[in-house]
Amino acid sequence: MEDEALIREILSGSKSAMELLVKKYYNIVFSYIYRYSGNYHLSYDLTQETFIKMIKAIRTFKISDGKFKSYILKIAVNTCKDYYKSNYYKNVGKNFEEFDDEKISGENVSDFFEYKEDRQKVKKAILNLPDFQREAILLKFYYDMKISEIADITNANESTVKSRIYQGLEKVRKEIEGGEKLDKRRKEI
Amino acid sequence: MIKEEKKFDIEEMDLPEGMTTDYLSDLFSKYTVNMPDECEIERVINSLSEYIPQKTKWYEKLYKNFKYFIERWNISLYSISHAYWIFTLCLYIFGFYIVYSNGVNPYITIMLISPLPFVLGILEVIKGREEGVLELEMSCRISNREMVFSKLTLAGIYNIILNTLLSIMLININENVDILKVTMVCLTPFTFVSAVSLYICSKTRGYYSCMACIFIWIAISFSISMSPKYINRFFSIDFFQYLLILISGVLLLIFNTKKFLKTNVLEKEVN
Repeated sequence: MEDEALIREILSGSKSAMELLVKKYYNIVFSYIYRYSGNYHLSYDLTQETFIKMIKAIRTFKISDGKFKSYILKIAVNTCKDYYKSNYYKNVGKNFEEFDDEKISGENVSDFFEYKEDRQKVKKAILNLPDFQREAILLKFYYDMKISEIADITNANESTVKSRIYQGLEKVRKEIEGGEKLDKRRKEI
Repeated sequence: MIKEEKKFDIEEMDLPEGMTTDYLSDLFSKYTVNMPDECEIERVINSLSEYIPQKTKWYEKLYKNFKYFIERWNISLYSISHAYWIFTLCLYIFGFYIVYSNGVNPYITIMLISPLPFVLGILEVIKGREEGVLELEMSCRISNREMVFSKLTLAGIYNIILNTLLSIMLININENVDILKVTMVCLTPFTFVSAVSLYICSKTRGYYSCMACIFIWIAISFSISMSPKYINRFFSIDFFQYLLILISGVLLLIFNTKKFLKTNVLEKEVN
């Protein structure tokens, strides 16, 4: 069923339509929040918060404009921003930054470690980016959004989004290449 | 572990030198995410059930809104000081008394008194805000915005009730008092003075600026009442002109109420 039809059903009180919509977009929202925060436990909570905000504000979604994906991602982006700006994060959340507990089933042990190392490098590079560059890069390279859509979601103009992506990519490369050089040196020693 | 194949369109943007689509696709696909199991999705779905919009009939909606306002007014009612209610009531009794016993012009009396309860109501809101009572009062039961808004509406409704009662009493004691004229004479200053006071108070956000509004209004109305030329001009305006002034006054009042709520609620929330 199309998103528009599902939303119409939800507006008339259908729980099953809501279930379908959540199941359709859960992974998109969760993966965005996880890639933005790098924290699984936090991602569960913020994903739930995003969906609660969505259902509370569903009447404001203009069905004629379409693009529910952009709408829900915009809520996810703002939910993340609000969390990192909140006093809760500054006072409590900061102390609970978790270690990565990614469960990986590798073909063999060396594959597993190589994969894990590569993943950590990319994750670290993305998490080290400033918020505005991180969100632009995530939306572009994981959700294939158009520059105009990213501009709308992040409340910036298109040229700003382009420059954020460009500068963010430069930083990601520096971080990864820097890490690789360090690894080489370690191996040589 | 199978990596996700990333596909994206980079035609519309420049990439740093040496970065190709394949390079980026390979790079970003390494940052994989373990998706939660069905139980977690079910948990979210269950938590959303209570927020699904319900189709309600218009009278149910009306009843819901009415109940909502009554609840908020009930809370605000106790946070407005007794002195406010007593003082404004005495003001109207005094107004009635001077018309009844001293034969003062009823139109001038009602014109002078009509905006005062609302302006004093603004004073109550500011007083609560400056004394920091607002945060205490709103503790979880009512939001800051709701508190300011319900206090203002309460003062407005109380003001209209007092104006109506005084008008009825003035009509009863004096046969020459025109019902339409008395309504216009009390509503026009009420809307305009309230709107101007809200504007000034949202700009200066001070207790004294609100007091100043009251004194300025009293000074203006006294000076008008002393000059027969202005009185005649004011009371000879025809009905449609009054109506036009009244409509613009109402619009101005709505606009400034929004402005007042913005400065007194949003700034407070940020701080």
